[in-house]
Parts: sequence; C-alpha cells; structure tokens
Amino acid sequence: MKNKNLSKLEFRGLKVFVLLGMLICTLSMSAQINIQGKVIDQNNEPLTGVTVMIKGTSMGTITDINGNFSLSIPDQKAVLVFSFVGYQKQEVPVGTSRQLTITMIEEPKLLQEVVVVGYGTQKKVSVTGSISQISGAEMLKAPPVNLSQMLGGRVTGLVTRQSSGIPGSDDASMVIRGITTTSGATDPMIIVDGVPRSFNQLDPNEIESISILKDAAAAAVYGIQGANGVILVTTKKGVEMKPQITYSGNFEINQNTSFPKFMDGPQYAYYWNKALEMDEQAPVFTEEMVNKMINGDPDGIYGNTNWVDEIFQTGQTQHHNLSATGGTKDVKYYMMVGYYDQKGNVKNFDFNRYNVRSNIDANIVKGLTANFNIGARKENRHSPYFGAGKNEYMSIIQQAIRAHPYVPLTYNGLPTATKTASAQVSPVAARDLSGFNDSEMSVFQSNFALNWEIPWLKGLSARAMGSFDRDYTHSKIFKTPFQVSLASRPTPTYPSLKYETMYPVAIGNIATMHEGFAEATRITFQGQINYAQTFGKHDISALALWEQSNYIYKQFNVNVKDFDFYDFAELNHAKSIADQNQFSGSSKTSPRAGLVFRASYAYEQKYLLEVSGRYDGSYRFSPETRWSLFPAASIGWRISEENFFKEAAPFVTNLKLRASAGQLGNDAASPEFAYLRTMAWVSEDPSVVIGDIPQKALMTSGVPSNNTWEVTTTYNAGFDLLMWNGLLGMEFDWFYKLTTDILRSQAGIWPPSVGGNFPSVINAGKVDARGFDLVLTHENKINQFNYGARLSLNWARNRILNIDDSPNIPDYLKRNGLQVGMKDGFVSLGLFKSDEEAAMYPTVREGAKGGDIRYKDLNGDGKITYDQDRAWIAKSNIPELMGGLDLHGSWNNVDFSILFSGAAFCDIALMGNYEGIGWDNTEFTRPFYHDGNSPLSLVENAWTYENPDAKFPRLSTQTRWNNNWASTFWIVDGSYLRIKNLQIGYSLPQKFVNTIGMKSARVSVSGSNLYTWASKRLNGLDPEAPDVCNGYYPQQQTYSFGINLTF
Amino acid sequence: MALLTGCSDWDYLDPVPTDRYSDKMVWQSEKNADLYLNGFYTYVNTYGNFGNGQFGGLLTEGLTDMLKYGSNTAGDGTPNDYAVEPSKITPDQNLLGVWGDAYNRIRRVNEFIEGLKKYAAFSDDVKNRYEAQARFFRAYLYHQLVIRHGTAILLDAPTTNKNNPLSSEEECWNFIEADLDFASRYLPVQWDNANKGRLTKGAAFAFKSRTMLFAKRWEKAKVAADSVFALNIYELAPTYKDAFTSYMKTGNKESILEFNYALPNPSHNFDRQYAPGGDEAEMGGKATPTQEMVEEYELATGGKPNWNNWHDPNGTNETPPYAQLEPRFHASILYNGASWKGRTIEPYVGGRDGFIQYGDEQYPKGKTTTGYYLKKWLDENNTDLVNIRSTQPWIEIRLAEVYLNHAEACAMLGESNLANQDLATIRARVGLPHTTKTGNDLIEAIRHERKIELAFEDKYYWDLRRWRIAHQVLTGVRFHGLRIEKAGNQFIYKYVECDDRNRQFPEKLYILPIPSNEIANNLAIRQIGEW
Repeated sequence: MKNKNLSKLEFRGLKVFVLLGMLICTLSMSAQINIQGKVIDQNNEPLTGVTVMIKGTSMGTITDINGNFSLSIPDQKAVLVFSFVGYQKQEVPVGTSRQLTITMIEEPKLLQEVVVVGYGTQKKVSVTGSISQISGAEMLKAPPVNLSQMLGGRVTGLVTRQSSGIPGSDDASMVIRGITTTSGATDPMIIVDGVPRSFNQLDPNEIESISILKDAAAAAVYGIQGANGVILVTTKKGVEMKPQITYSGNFEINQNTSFPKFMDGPQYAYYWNKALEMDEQAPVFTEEMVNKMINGDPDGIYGNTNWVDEIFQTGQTQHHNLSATGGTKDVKYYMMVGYYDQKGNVKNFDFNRYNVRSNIDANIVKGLTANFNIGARKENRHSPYFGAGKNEYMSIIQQAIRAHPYVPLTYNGLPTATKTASAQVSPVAARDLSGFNDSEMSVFQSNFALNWEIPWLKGLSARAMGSFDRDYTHSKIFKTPFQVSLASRPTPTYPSLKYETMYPVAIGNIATMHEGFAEATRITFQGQINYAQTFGKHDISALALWEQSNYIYKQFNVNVKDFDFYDFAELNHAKSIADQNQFSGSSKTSPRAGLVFRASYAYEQKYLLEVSGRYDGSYRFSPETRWSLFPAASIGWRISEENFFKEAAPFVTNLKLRASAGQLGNDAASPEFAYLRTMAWVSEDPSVVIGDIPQKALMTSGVPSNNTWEVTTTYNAGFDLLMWNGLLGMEFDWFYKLTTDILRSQAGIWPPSVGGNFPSVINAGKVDARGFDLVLTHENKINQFNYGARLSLNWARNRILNIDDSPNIPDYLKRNGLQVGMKDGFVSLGLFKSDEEAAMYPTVREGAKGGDIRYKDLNGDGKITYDQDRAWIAKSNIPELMGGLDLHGSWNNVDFSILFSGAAFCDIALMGNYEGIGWDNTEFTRPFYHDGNSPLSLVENAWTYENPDAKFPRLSTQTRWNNNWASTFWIVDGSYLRIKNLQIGYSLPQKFVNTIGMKSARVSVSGSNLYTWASKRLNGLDPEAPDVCNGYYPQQQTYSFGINLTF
Repeated sequence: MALLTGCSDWDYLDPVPTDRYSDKMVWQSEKNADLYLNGFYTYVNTYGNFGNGQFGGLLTEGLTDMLKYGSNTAGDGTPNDYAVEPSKITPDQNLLGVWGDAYNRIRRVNEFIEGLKKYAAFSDDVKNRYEAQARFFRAYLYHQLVIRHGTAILLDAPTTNKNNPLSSEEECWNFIEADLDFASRYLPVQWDNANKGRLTKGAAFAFKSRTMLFAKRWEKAKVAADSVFALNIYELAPTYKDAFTSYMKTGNKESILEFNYALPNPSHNFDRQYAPGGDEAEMGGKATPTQEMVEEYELATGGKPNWNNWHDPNGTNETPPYAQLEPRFHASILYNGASWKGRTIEPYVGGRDGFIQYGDEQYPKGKTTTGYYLKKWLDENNTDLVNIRSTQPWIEIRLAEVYLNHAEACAMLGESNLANQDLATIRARVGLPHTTKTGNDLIEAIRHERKIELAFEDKYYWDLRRWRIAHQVLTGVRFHGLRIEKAGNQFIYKYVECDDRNRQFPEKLYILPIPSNEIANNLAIRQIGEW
C-alpha cells in the first residue's frame, strides 16, 4: 500500500472537493452506469488517493486504501482520467467494461522534482523562474572538502574560481551568470535555511539541497541584495520512518595540483654565473663549490636544498559524520555530528571543524506545527606566524620560492637562511619556529518557526520564524623569535659562502602577541501568510512576508610584546603592551527590513503566471533613499500538456516554455554612512605631541553623497524539455541583464587637484550582460546497468555601456564597450633578438638590450609611455564560460561517477599590478626576482646570446627596467579542463549487510582535481592561480577513501 | 509591522555610527576643534626627514653630492636611479612629486576654514587663531608644490569643479605670502604650556623668510627674518648638537617649529634605517655621507684641509684629518674610529659596521658604501633599535636657518654687512673664524655655510634647484667614498667611486611634471615644462 507524496492536507482537500463535485453531478444526472475499478502501480501495489475524473466534467472520485474506486458514468462514451502525484496522467475510455484495472506509470523523476525557492518550495514543473538545484547526495560524489569548490561544474549558471588551497581558507569565489557591475560587489547572496549565513563550513552530509536563483523572477523576493543571484542552502529534515543511523567516514591525502619546479643548488650556481656573465660580471660559483653541492660538503657549508620540496609534503584529512534521522507522525528529526580534520600539505597549516545539527519538526496541536533547527560548529585554523596568502609579506610559500638552494638545511646547528633583496628567508624555520596564527570560531545558528493552518479559510496558513545566530572568533597570533645561520652568496669581495648568526629581520628578537575577539550576532524575524488553493482548473497561491534582521558586530584586539618563555601564549605572561596598535575595538550594527510578496496562478497546470517582489530597505542609505520596490513577473506554458502537442510529439514527456522579467538591487558597494558628513581618527594614534602630551587627531572622512542601490533588470527566456521519459532532458535559458545606477568608485576620474573633494562612490554607470545556461541530461537503464550523463554549460559576457572614464586619455584606454575586470598593459611585440635591435626601437626605459621585451608604440610618438601606450589587453580571470560533464552509472553493487569541469574565456596575468603598489615582476616572470630563486624553466628558456629565439626575457641578475611592465607578454589564457572528481563505489551485498545488522554499507574511492589540461604558458601554475602572485598555497589534488554505513 | 505605518520615521534602519564623529560636533568646543586642527600638525612630520611625504620617505640629499643611498634597486635606490637616469622621472612615476597628497591636504585645510566660518561659535580672536594656523599649513603645502612645479592650482575653498587652471609662479607666491601674513598677524608669540608645540608668530615669519627666498623676493625675506629676530625670544643653542633638541622638552630656544614624538605614537624609525650596520645586524646604513660632503667641512680652526692624499684609488694608510674637523662634522657624520654608543665605528671591509662596494648587492643592509655613516638625526641613546622606535624630534625651522635666509636676502639686496654679520654669528657658535666677504665670494660663503650648517635637513637639494646650479654640479660627475681595509693594526683608505654611472640633472628637472591623472581629468590645464 502506498500513499506517496500526498500530504494529509492535500488529500483531504482534494477528497472534499471531489465529493462536492460528485454530489452536484449526482443531483443533475439521471441515467447512470456504475463501474468499478482498481488502480495499481507497476509493482502491482494498490495506489491510494488516485483521482479519477470523468473527462470534460467535474465529476470523479478518489481511490480508497486498497486502490479501489467506484463511479457512475453517464454513458459508455465517457473517458476516465486518472491522475496522481508522481505518476503520469492516464485517460481510459470506459467502453463496455464495468470492471477496470489501471496500472499507473511513474513519472520520470525529473518531473517530480521539488525545488527550493525563496521563502518556500515549488514543484519544478510549475516553476517559471530560472533556478538550478543540486541535491546533497549529488554533491557527495566528490570528496567532501569544501562546498563552494564542490559546486563548480555541477550547477549551471555558477562560475567558481578557487584560488588558494590553504586549509580552512580554500573557498572558491562564486559568481552567478557573470559579473554585471563595475562596483566590485559581485558576491551572490547566500541563504541557509531562510537566513543569510555562510555555507562553506557546513558539513556536506547535512545538506539536503542547494538552489541557485538566477533570474529576477526567482530572486526578486530578495530585493535589494538579490542582483548577484541567490544561493539557497537547505539542511536535512527528518521524515516519517524508523530511526536510521548513518556513519560516513572519509580519509584523504592531498598534494598540490601542480607547482613550478625551482632551481636546485648546481642549477642555481650555473644560471647565476651565466646571468652575471650576461651582466658583464665575473662568475662567483666555482666548480669546487658545485661539487660540494652535489657530493656533499665535509664542512657543511654548501648543500643542495630543494626548499619547495621541503615545504610541500602530503596533506592528510579525515572526515567523520554520524547522523540519526527518522520520525513518527508527530515528531520528525534529523541529528548529526561531524568532525573534519585537515593537516595541510604544508606542515603546521591545519584546520579542523566540528559540526552539530538538530532539526526537529513537531505537530503541537492540530494545525500547528513547529520547526526547531539548531546548527552549531567550531572551526579551528592553525598556521605558522607567517601565512601562505597570495602576496602576503614573507609567506611561507614566498620564502620557499625565494630561498637559495645551494645551502644545507642547517648550518652550525641553526636553520639556514638566505638573503633576498629585502628580508632574509628561512622557509622551514618560518614554518616550524615562527610561532603561530590561530583562530577559533564558534558558530551557533538557530531557527524556530511556528506554522499554523488557519482553520477558517482552507489553504490559508501563517508562519512566524525567528532566528538567532551568533558566532565568536577568537584569534591569537604569536610571533616567536628564532635564530638562523644567514648565508651570504659568494661575491667578488667575499669569494666563498659565509654564514652569520642572526635573527631574521621579519621576526626580530622579541616575542609579540596579538589577541583578538570578535562577536557577530544576527537576529532575524519573518512573519508570513500563505494561501494556496485549487479551484477546479485554477491553482492559486500567494505569499506575503515581513522580514527584518539586524547584524551586530563587535570586536576588540590587544597587542603585547616581550615574553620570558614561549610555552604559554597568554597576555598574562607578556611584559608590556606593544609599541604599535596596542589595542583597538569597535562595534556596528547593520539592520535591514523588507516586505515580500508573491502570487502565482496556474490554469490546468498548463498556463503559469507568477508575480513577486520585495519592498526593501537598507541601512546603507539615507532615510530619503532607503526604500524601494523590486518587482518581477514570469510566465510559463507547459506546451506538452496541450493535446495538439501530445499528438504531434508524443515522445515529449514535458516541455515548458518560460519567460520572466524583473528588477533586483545591490547595495553592497555603498560605503556605510556615506550619506553623513563624518570625521574619523587619523590612523596614527596618537598623532601629535602638543603641550608635551601625545594627542589624537581627527580628519574629515569623506564627502557625503545620497547614494541608492544599483538596479539590475533581468530578462530570461527558456525551456525545460524532457523526452522519452528521461532519455534526453534539456534545460535552456537565455538571459539579458542590465545594471544601471552602478555604485561607482570615483577614484581616478577626478583630477588630484580637487583634493578628494568628491564622494568616494556615487550611482553612475551602466553594464549589461547576456548569456545562456544549458543542461543536457541522459538517463537510461540497460538490464542491471543504470547510467546517465549530464552536461552543463553556462556562458555570460558583459559589456560596459557607460563608465566615467577620464576625458583626456587615448581612446584605446577608454572602457565603454569593453568588459568588466579587464587588465591594462602594454602590447608586446616579442623579445628583441639582439642588442642592436633593442637600440632601434623605443623602449620604456633606457638601456634595453637583446632579450628585453619590445612594446608597441600605440600612439606612434616614438616613445613608450605609461599614460599613452597602455591599452586594455586581457580579460578578467573570471571565466565567461564554465561547464561540467558528469558521467555516472551503476551496475549491481558497483557505482561510479566522473566529473569533468572546465572554463574558458578568461586570462591570467603572471605579472602586473600589485594592489596599490604598481606594476612589478614576480618570481614567475623575472629570473632571480627580488634576489630569490627562480623557476627552472624561466632561466632555462631565458634569452642569452646563444639563445636569441628564447621563450623568456633576458637572463640577468639585475632588474631589467624595460621588462617590469605589464604587457601581453605575460598574459596567459586561463582556459582549462580538468577531471574534477572521480568516484567508484561498491555497496556490500544486501544479504550480507542484513546479517550483520546493517541496512546498507558502501565503500568508495574518489579523487579530485586528478588531471588538468591548461595552457603550457602557465609554466606549472594551476589555471586557477591568482593573478600576479609572488607565491601562493596551490590548489589541491585529493585522493580519498570513503565508507558509508547505515543502521 | 512597522512598515504599514510608514517607513521614513521608523528608526530601526537608522543605526548611529559608533566609529566616527559628525563634522558639526567638532565645532561644538575648542577642545574638539583642536583635535581637528591636530591633523594638520602631522604634516610637519609628513614632510620632514622622519615622514614619508617629501620623497617617499627618502632624504632629498640622496639626489646630491651630500649623501649616497646604498641600494641600487627601486625603493631605497630610487635617489640613485633619479640621479643617474632622470628619465625615470615621468608624469606617472615621480617619487619627488607630492601633487595628489598635497592637494588632498589643502582641501582638508580649506574644509576646516569653511567649517570654522560656518559652524564655530567662538570669539573672533579664537576664530582668527584657528584660521591663522590653518592658513599657515595651507601655505606650507603650497610651498611644497611651487618649489617642485613652479606653479600650482590655487584653491581657497573646497571645489567640486574638475577643471581648474594653473596659476603663475608670481600668483602662487602672492597666495602663500597672504596666508603667511594672516598667520603671523593672528598667531600668538608663545602658547600656554598646554598648547606648547603649536604654531607661533615666529614660525610664520621664519617660514616666510624661507619661502620668499624661493620667490626671490629678497626684501620680504629679509623683513620676515628681521621680524623673527625682533620677537627676541629665539637664540642659537649653545652648541651645534643642541640645536636639534626639542624646545618643548629641553627649552632649546633655537627651535622655531618642531614636531615631537613619543612612545608608542607618534614615533618614527629613522634610527633603524640609517644607523650604522653594527647597531643591528642586516639593518641600517640606508644612506651614508659622501667623501665630497666630508671634504666640504672646514678644519676646526678654519679653512679646508688638503685631501689629495686620500684621492688615491690604490689607497693610503694615512689617517684622514677627521679629528681636526670642525664640530659640525663631528655632530653630523660618523667615520672610522668615531665613538658611538660606547663603541668605535668600524666602517671598513669586514668591520662590525662594514663596507660594501655600491652595486655589489641590491641592498647594503647596514654596510656603508662610502666609509661613513650619518650621525645627525640619530639617537645615540637608543641601543635597542629592533624593539624601540625613535622619538628624537624633527626641527622643521630653527633660528640658524633664519640667519642664513637673512644673510642670503641681504647679500642679494647688496647689504653685505648684514650678511657677513649673520655668517659670523653662525660660525661663532662652532668656533670658526669669519672674514668679511663681498660679491660672489659672499654668495659662495653663504652657500657653503648653508650646506654645512643645514646639512641633511632637507634644504640642500632645494637650494641647488633654487640657485639653478643643480644642472651644473650634478651632471657628468660621480661621487666618492673611502673603501677602508684593515691590514693588521692599520687601515688602508682607498678612494672609490660610490656611483657606477655619471650623474645627470637635465634642466627640465627644475620644473617637475604634473601627474598624468591630473592632465587626464582636468581639461583646464596642459602638461608643463618640457614634459
């Protein structure tokens, strides 16, 4: 006996309605034929609650608990229509039969799918907006590392870019349907169980589904924050069933996807000498020294240390999750504990996390249910005092790629260090001895909701939800001095390697400690009224919701110095307060409120119409400009439900045409309190000494402006197609977005002489974007072999329609018509083949020689100048096209899946603008950059007199002034294709499992980022590497073993 | 549901910012207004030797024959780049430029004056005193611009107009003069103890004397200097060394405008950057005095020694006549054997402080490239440079400069008597004789005296430009140091070049370019000079 998918409420409502109809019929009919029947499913199980209607009338009935029904029909010409949720509608002419047996065929799963939409759920077939959804189970096909990484290539409409592999800080950036603003505020809004929350550190096992709301129709209910799209994350709930306990465990090892190979000792000696020769200087490394590097040095002076290998080892992760779920008619529960522990592939970079969840649904009294969800977690991050971030000062990775390789690991009992142009680097000591940077974040999130079916009007219900979230972050940074043996590379003055004992400058000789505490609280209230009712062929539903929320952030920090011992990093043991930034503290609140509405109408589930919107207010704007309406409307036509279509194309299971239009807002780029004229403290505090007393100083903090939100108007048209009951599925969306009133930074477009007397940000500028999302699916079963494929592709290209460019610049530096995030630089014409050739052409600086880069003189004035000869030379590093191909299958107890993911139409700059510093080379673009080590291929393929057709610029120990400019020479196509995930699972035979008291058991092996195809010009960097970096913690390749036991 | 009652008077979405003040609040009391004004005082630090506003934190003497930066790479080596390859100065990359920052500060001063007039309910006296301070700073900022570009965009109120024209040099000096006249009229001669350290009448007059030399308004420079003397509260410190101590802390009456430091803030790190390498491993010695500068000093008895013996690249073991040089040398420069922090300076190859040939390494890391170290502005009492930041005061204007300004103005006006008196006064403090000079000799004597007296005080480079002789003395030459080698108990002094290329100072550098983001966005102006 089955009672599928039909809630009691629906069932009862339907029954009353049908009975009412029957009553009317009975009264109006005279001649009647009684027929009886039974409805069963494909497994011969009776189906309860199937609606049986006489076609063209409103007469009908519902099958009983045994699947039986009886009905009076007017005559033999009557046609019965059988419909049931999850099953295909059937029409059966009665003819002469009086006893019918009807077998209902299950609808393809795709038609049954329910999707999570803003503030509710909808059946996918009736959704008119553009939404992609992925289930938690689907996500678990990848090693459960980081949710944002796991989404890449699996969900259409989303572009992810993971640019770091630091444990606990390896989130991918996410962009939905491309960037449509120049304001820089491009993050989608993320909602977990109805409330803005981050989702990356949820345990992947606790996720029921993730929905991406892509168009305005789907996202309009998020109003002023919805313009970049919305990601809705829903956690699991209990269902009515016997308790089920599941353990899943994962054990992983990981290493870098790729990393350039750097010179070893003898190679360094060779290329340094060679570079000196190029600089017309005498060599400094002798054959004897090189022999000592290779064969060992009895004095321990020379060595051969591969610092990159010393730093990168194999990382290990374990992940355990235990959950219990089940429920009775009145109480349902999902409970979970998770533990995740990651030891990075750079020692001392560790992350661990504990997750707890308890989601409980209870019927309190008739018509009143309560949901109480609690999610809590603790995240611990540990790293050495020196970090591993992109361009972070003295990061461990930067030290590793800068450190010279011709020294042993230790000398005279101390770790060796070598010089760079600035500080001394000693990567292993920096990793092991420099102290630590720890943070502990405790997160508590709770939702309590009451749902009330209002008894006086059918279909009317009310819901009140309050949520309270609080997180605490406690951070401690302890810097502990250590001594090193500092090697001085041989020079003509000191022809042999010599060492001195010292404290590296970046570490000093006194321990310092930072301790900080931050607390964030979010309190949200939602009150909503829902109405959903069916009147014959008319389905109506409506939602009105009031939401207000406040985010309150407080923090304080203390810095101290001088410890007698380093065993306890506690303020109590510090001797004094630090010299600079001794303490700080602040707080702020960020309140918001909005009124949400949505109304939808469907006729025969065929013609669908929805209007929705939000009247929204943000604290970021002044009272006069604070509130606005963000509306959207959408229509859908399930053309496959039309008779003419069914006749013409019976193989089409479902075809729905959709279209939508609407507006959304974005307030994130408006500075807080921009509408007030305010004063701020001068950063150095105190700032002056007056009357012999150090005093603070105030300064005006900006020119006020009455900003409003950016407005993005979105048009979407698409269709959902399912053919041959699922053999081929296709979803396609075309969209156009136009953002106006962009919150545009005014920096750079005012002459400096105005002295900054302009608002930092105003509403100006226009950007549009167009693109498509495409999903193709195939599901089939041949005997015991189930298999399927899913290809998803999304492409979005933006265009700047209006931007305030400086009036007096060359046309090729103007940005109208170009794309957001493009990179500027010179146009390279390749390398000068000879010194003579270099003398013939204009160069940026005097003294260019063979092997230096030749730039194009764009304005033809015979000079290469920064302000006249730059152009927009490369795309943003955010791909325009991203896609994934998922192939999966199962045969008996074995299942497998493989995901290829790829991206295209993006560029990576290997050198260029450091934030705020200007153009400079990097380790990856100049031999011996910053007097450090170099990638082997960069020097091997460098220009020398013997190698005039070289791939890379001139070998030199010195800064080649002509070459430290961003240019097309160092732009690399960022397209890639990679085997993102591969998983093979084996489920133990059911009989065996049952005998040991389990319901199921499965083991699996999986891997991620197993192989990557990308431009060779990256020289070993990962294609998702950040632009312009001086060393970073690379993306990881993971091998994982998983076990899943259900009791 | 508050929405239903209307949102505009609902205060849920109106949080009060807790991290900032409103601008009206600052005019509610003098105490608050003082905090606002304090921000402008920081400019004295910014453009001084310990700040980073002047030349990106580098000393302008590094562009001259006085001081040599040891690094040959961008950043610490920029003075060397600029000195040998001035084409590195472009409208876009010009570390000597202060254009954007100065105008930003000028806007803030103008905003202050505007707010003062709009909101402050103080008495006229008090208001004038605030305005006088603000206008001094405006003049101070415009001075920075005009000595670089010979022109500026004159703004006496905040503007929202993008297209503002340049004014002629004459107009600029008029503007500066008017501000300084207003300042000197309303500033007090002295402040009460609680306000000690604020601008005074003397500072306004003294700064005017400096400014009017640049404007070549000799009479005005002379009168301004005379006005300083007439206040009768300043006098030369008893010794040259004492001239660099704080009026606030030690009562140094030579100090006319100073910026004081304290721990933890405001403080600076000059010692850590410029101290001899032996003070802290791998640090210091960022720039060191040249042999040319050392040879500029006279003997304690007057007249220069003969340095020919030390001009031998092969070296001599004869000890240079350091001991016989005048007190200002000993107060300004550390040399081989000089005593320092209870030890002896070892600026030789392999010595504790060390020597490195310029260009051998990208950064000297504490070693000297000239055989000397800077002493002036270093704090000999600070023996833990790693952990203790520097707090010695920056003396922006001192009486000795005013004497020299006066001397130069008088010399230009043909009043050589007065000029000679000034020189005699300056030289008398350090025990040097003075013989009366006239004509070109007098001018040369004044220039020599400024170079010595005001060495490393951010004057010399601007003087060379002002005198329009930079293109002569800084072109086609290389400067020198002594490479000292220890051999047994004696030292060999070898004359070495501390430049690896000839220096160049094309005349177009007298007018520095306007940044291209100004040209790109201000349609009322075009690039100036030969840029």
